[in-house]
Amino acid sequence: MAITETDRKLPYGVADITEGDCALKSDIEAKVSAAFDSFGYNEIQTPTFEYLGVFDDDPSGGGDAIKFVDRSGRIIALRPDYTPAISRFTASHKSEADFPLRLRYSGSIFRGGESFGARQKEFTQAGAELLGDPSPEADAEIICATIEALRGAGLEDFQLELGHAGLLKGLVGGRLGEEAFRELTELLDKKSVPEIDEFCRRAVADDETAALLRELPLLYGGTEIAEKMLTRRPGAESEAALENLLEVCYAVKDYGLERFIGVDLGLVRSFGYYTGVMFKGLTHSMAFPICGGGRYDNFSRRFGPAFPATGTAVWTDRVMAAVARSKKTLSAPAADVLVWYESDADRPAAYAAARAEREKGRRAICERHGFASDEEESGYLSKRRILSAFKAGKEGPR
Amino acid sequence: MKYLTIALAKGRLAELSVELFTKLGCDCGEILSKTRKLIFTDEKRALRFLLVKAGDVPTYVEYGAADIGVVGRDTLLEEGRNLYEMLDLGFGRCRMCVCGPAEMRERLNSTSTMRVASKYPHIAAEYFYGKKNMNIEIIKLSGSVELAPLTGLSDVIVDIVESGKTLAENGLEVLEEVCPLSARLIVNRVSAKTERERISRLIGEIRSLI
Repeated sequence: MAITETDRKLPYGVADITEGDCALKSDIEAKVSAAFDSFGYNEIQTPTFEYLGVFDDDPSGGGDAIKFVDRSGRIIALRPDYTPAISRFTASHKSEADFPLRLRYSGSIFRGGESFGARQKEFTQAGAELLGDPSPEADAEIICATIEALRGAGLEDFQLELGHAGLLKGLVGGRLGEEAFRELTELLDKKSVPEIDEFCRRAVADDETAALLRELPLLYGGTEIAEKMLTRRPGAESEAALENLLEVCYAVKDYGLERFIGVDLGLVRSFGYYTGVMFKGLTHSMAFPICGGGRYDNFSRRFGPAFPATGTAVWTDRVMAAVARSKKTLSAPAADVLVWYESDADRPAAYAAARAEREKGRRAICERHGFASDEEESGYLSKRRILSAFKAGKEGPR
Repeated sequence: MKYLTIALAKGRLAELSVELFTKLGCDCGEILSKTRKLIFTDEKRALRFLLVKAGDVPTYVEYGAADIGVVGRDTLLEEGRNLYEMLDLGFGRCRMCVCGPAEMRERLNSTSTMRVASKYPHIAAEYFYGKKNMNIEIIKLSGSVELAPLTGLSDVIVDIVESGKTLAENGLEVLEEVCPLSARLIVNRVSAKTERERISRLIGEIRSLI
């Protein structure tokens, strides 16, 4: 059957990656993965699709997943997020004896969001999860591994914003219904001061809490922001959250990486599973976060035993775009050397010469050519982005 | 020093924004002169102003092509962009309303087959489906929305009401208020953090004026 005009086009939201971009992307994935490796994280792979129930069912998790139905009628989802998959993996293959467990991954996630036209639907992420360790040092390790991964990829001008899921829960406690809490989270995410003001008048009875909520969107900067908030005694749960956030910040400081972090007390994440310190990474040339993560204790309960966990995901395609913008790199060479020959008689010698080049670690292409002049040869090399060339076999007349 | 880029919505809001930034000591009056230029710089304060269509202001800010924007709440609600909405500037006050002929007032709460015309289909949908749980048909128009009920294209409209004069001249009236509107100062999520000091200072200065 003939392929139609529409079949030749790609579906909305996915793209081919051409050689130059792909080389850069693989390079960044390798460097990010190497950074996680250097912290002792071991790579695993989970399937590209699993039952929908594995993924969070809120709109930003499983709700946004690309889904299809299997033969028995169960709903399958293309992985919209790695964290639940790693949690499921750990619950099925590991036990407490394996903790603390350090795992890392690298691959694609898929999100179906249609709301804003040509948004992407396939993204690549490389991440790390530290399972079974509840300490602030574990959160700091994840944050520092993320910083080293971004630096390894070639970024220096970025910042990780740290917040804490317990702060807001402590401030409004069980006093807001589920729907009102979600609304407040959305308003905080937009730092929408006028609307938070309106929300407080409508839904928050306690004046002191309302005053804190109104300020929350603007409370970002260094650790002093959290220290100052602590002195205002915002209630036991919020104070515990602030103390935990500060302990993590101090541990990052002991790594010597505090210049890469900031505190944002109004930080909220769209995933509902975070229970402790959470973070987002920003860099100037990108409108969207280049990394994100946080603590999600007891999320694993849905798969079996409950355990503490913290993790990070680096959006490698966004990092690639940021690196490409900051460096203006010329396109990388396609190969190091062209070994060429003119006749069948020279072919064994050419193959041997190319193999010798490859054994020396050079990327060698072997082809039959009949270049009539040096100019013709160098023209071919520059067109193909090959660095050098030589002719194998007997020196014949040109 | 790096320029801070501010996107202004063409039209009435741009005039009011220029008034505000002039009060802050910015040299930006040139924006209002009849020029074809779209970028204006204030070297003294390292500010750069862009003049774009209202609906594009949130887009410029979301993608970081502008650090800051001044735009009506109606545009923000309609566009639903990923950015910070940090300040109510207080000017450009008006209301988003459901309007129609007086006799529609009764039907508005009893019928389930209504046509609503609007330049703001998202806001209209959010109000009728989301808030009122009504299943209605929405028709997107790009201007002169008041014509729709007069010509039988729709039963009611969802539109911005300032004085209500245009409505009255066309025999229409406000039936329900959807929400109050005013100009908002929006900030790019990354710039808010990376240019924290300058942007906080600017917001503080503006806050003291309004």
